[in-house]
Amino acid sequence: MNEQALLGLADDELVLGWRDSEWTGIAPLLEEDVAFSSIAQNEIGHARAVYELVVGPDGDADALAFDRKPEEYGCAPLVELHVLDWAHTIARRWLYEVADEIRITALKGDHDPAVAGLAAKIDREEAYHRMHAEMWHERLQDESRFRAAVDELWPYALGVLPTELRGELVERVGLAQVDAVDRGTHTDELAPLWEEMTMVRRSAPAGAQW
Amino acid sequence: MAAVEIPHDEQAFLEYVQGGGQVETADWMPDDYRAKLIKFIEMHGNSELMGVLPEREWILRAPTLQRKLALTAKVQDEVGHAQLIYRVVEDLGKPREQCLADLVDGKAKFHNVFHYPTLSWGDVGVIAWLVDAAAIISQKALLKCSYAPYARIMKKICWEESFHILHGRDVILAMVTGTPEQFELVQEALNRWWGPLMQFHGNPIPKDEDPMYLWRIKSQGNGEARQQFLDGYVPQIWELGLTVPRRRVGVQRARLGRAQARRDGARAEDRGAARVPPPLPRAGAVGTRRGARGLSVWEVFRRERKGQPLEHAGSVEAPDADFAEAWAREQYGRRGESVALWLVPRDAIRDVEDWADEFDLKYRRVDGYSIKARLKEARERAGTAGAG
Repeated sequence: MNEQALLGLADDELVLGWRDSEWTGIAPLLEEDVAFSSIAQNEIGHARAVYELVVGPDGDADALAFDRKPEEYGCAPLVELHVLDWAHTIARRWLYEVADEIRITALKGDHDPAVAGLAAKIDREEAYHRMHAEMWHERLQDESRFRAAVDELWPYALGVLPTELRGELVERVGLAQVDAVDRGTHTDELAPLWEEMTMVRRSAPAGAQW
Repeated sequence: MAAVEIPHDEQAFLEYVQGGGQVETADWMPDDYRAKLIKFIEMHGNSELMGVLPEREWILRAPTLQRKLALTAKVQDEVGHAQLIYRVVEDLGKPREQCLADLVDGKAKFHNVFHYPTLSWGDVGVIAWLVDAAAIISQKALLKCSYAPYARIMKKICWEESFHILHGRDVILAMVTGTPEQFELVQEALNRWWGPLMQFHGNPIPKDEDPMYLWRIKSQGNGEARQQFLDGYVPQIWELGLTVPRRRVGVQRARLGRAQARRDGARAEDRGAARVPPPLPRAGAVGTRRGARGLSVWEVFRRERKGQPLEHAGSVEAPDADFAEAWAREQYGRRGESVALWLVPRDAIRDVEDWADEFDLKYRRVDGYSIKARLKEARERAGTAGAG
């Protein structure tokens, strides 16, 4: 897998983990709050592992994660969206988890053993995410708000995957193939996210320690 | 040994708890004790929950991946603690939904320290290091609480919180060894938080006048707790070259009488500081949390290591077994502290506690046998006395 694709994966996990951690402390139930925070942490952890792989042993994963300009991030528009209700949040989690499983499964067969090995590690942790997403999906699938949220996010979900993997996503999710909102473009919601994400880092001159 | 009977009489019950006796949920207890427990424990739960609000927005601004992970984990812990604590309150008779409604309506209290805003990343470090240090002192004193279910969850809470202090101290150490501006940011944060920290353990009323101490809900007085904080942490602050705001250094202050404390106290409203309401969560207020309708309680047992017995860990409320599993996994195992969990619907449990032992059943146990005298006699008769 090339570096750009790896960065796309890492940026997806960073930005989705960031979005999911917006719920830490205010999720609809305390028990769910704890579970959802763990998932957010896992996503950030996966992003960190991929950044570390990209920068190598002497590189600075934080610099890669935070010191780029918003337009330099390779994340898919799906993860950037600022969704404000639980139906959309769960719809995005579920769609992302299905897409991510397809992507990670493909990565486990990557010719680079470091990438394949990391994908296998990520996959083991994702098992919990999938269980969580399926459980919510099963509970909410007949709710009209949830179905509307899935329909709304579906073109974005397709954009998480390269074209050759989208057929499998269509099959798994059971929705019609539509025009995807592709990676490579950004929504208006990335810039404010980036502002907030990097504000402490940008606030201090060089030589600062965090 | 027959079980200790809990006296069904207020005065005798008071003596029982003052003598170190502990009480379980199903035991008889005076109404006043139950009311005090609910008030105290509910306020603790409210404080854990409100405490997430000043910190959670900084999760989004954390300057490194490691800090973001640690801060998310810290805030996650506070939410988890609120869950554990509200479960204890619920079992005492006040539903979580009611606790949350009273909190949102302003009818229930939460700790004063969480009325203050978090203005900088320096505040994030000071809160995690020093506010949590102050909290741990209070919480450790609850490990001996006369109400056993509360004392038990406090073990988990104290264990989890101990990393918060290290995380906070590490944030502060990084900043004081960074640029001069960063050092200043830490000093400013410390100045802002010192007043609230000195108020943290409450008015220095003598502990024997504190009803929470009389019932042995708490095991130490407010003054003692504050002194312990000062003794433990002022030297740690000084060794970093930071200063503690003079007026409020409280070795003496902590011993001042109540009236004096009221005059000098660093109450938020007096300081003209920042008594802003805590920021409203972006995606709907706490009050939108769904009530307990349709949920049932699952008791959770955990095995710490292979070969160890399962031990009761606590409970979760969930709509079905799948949710109970997903939630219990994280609440009781996210730090690798369990290798297995058992989830049992509370309704499936048959509670058995009463054994009659009126006619000396000691012959069934080793303490029912005293063979010394007879053995001596037998040895003498056999001429082996002194040989063994």
